[in-house]
Amino acid sequence: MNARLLLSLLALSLALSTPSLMRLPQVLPFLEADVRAASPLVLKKLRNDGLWLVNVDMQSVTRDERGLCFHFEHRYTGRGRNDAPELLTACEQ
Amino acid sequence: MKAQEYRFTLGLLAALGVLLRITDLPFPDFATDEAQAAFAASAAWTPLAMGIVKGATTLFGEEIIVARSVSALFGIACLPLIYLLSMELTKKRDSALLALVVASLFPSHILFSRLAYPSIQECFFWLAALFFYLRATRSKDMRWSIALFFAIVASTMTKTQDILFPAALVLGRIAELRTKVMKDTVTWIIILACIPFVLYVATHPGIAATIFLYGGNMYGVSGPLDRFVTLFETWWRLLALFLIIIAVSLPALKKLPWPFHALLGTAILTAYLLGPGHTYYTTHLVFFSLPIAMTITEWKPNIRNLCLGLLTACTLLLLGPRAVFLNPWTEDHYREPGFWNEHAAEINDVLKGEEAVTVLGDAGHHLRWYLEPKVLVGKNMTPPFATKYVLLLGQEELGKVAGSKVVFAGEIAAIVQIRD
Repeated sequence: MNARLLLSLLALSLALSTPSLMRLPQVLPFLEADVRAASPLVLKKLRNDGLWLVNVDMQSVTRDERGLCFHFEHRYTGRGRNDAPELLTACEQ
Repeated sequence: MKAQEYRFTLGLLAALGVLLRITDLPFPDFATDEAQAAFAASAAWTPLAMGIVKGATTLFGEEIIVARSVSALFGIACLPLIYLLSMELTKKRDSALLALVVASLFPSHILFSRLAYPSIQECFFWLAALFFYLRATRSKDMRWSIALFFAIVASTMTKTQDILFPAALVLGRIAELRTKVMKDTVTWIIILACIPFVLYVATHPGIAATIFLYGGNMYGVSGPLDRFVTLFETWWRLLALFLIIIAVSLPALKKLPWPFHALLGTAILTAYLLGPGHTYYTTHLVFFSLPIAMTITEWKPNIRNLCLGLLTACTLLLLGPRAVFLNPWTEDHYREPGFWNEHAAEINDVLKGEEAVTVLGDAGHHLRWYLEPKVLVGKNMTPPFATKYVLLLGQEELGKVAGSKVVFAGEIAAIVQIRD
């Protein structure tokens, strides 16, 4: 077994995974059952506004008096247009 | 036919296959999956293939021909890989050359080299992964192991289901080496190459959501016989004579090693489990070029040449340039000009100056490609809609906008004005 090669490739793998690793804090709240349960309801709210879910990127999940709030960045994309991002919040009690 | 003439003819057929991959590129409508690739916006795919298409359209312009040229390049690049793979597996130049020719004429591979679906990139990276795997396991040269690592990373980051092939390779390796597998460098390289995939899936909940959304109906084993029938019908519609020659070549599979079976098995299983009616999965049937070539290489020259002639004729009837070969067997995409390619300008004229339009019906991502105003998906919206115009995809949607004025009516879409 070529240990040096494997260690180099492990480092390379982690380097290639940097964008995913940086998103870890955003998805950690999904470890909690109530967040997982609320997420389909929140997505339904976004759908009710006519949004394309592929244009929506979840930024964070917070808890406040409105309940469990999901914060999204929405950016409409079409051919020849890439709209400025807008921040959306959808909450679920 | 002398040997030199025979090789020259094979060269011409391969060149024909290359030309067919760059024929009629802009003709069919841009499909929903193609638009997703061009926008690099899919919740279900890993990012590489769509990133490459998006990169090309950003650099060279948001045009259908640009997005599809990426596929054409990958489709053409698959051909030398098939030659190399065949050489690696058979060590016979004639068989490898014939595999290249059969692959170059393979209808489903030609079709998806012309369309901007990720399946052709998937096909390329799978072939590369298998070739480098074979080299890495047969040679002590470390460069093949590094190439294998990159091919697996690229493959698994192309489409989510592409994890199945490296998983099959690891399982095969375990069966082959038993306890020695723990000390096997190649196995660990494959596993390490899957780390970016695992972390990507873990941090993009949309992928899991898509699997749950379609799991049990489109994805899975529900209706196993129906799936088989649909799979066969899809293959027959796109492959015709090639499907017969695939059946004839099946005994040759015995001469090929298990990693090739793993590749073929993954390709067929993916189609069976994830959507037997999805034509893009037929792209991977090009892997059968190897057993087909091994089979017909052993035939008498006259029969072999007749077979190649029939396969060429079949390909030209299905996918020959439509300006010359339009006929009752022409593949569906190339029979009639696409609705959106024909009418998008007219529809955009009607919608001129509007910030947004609501779409009722099965709204695909291609609408964001063709329509200039912002497209709102009306399916889950509650009337009254906020936009002045509503685009209807299907007659049944008319009931939701009763009393509106029709301002455009086409075969598959209409626009109604719901407010002044």
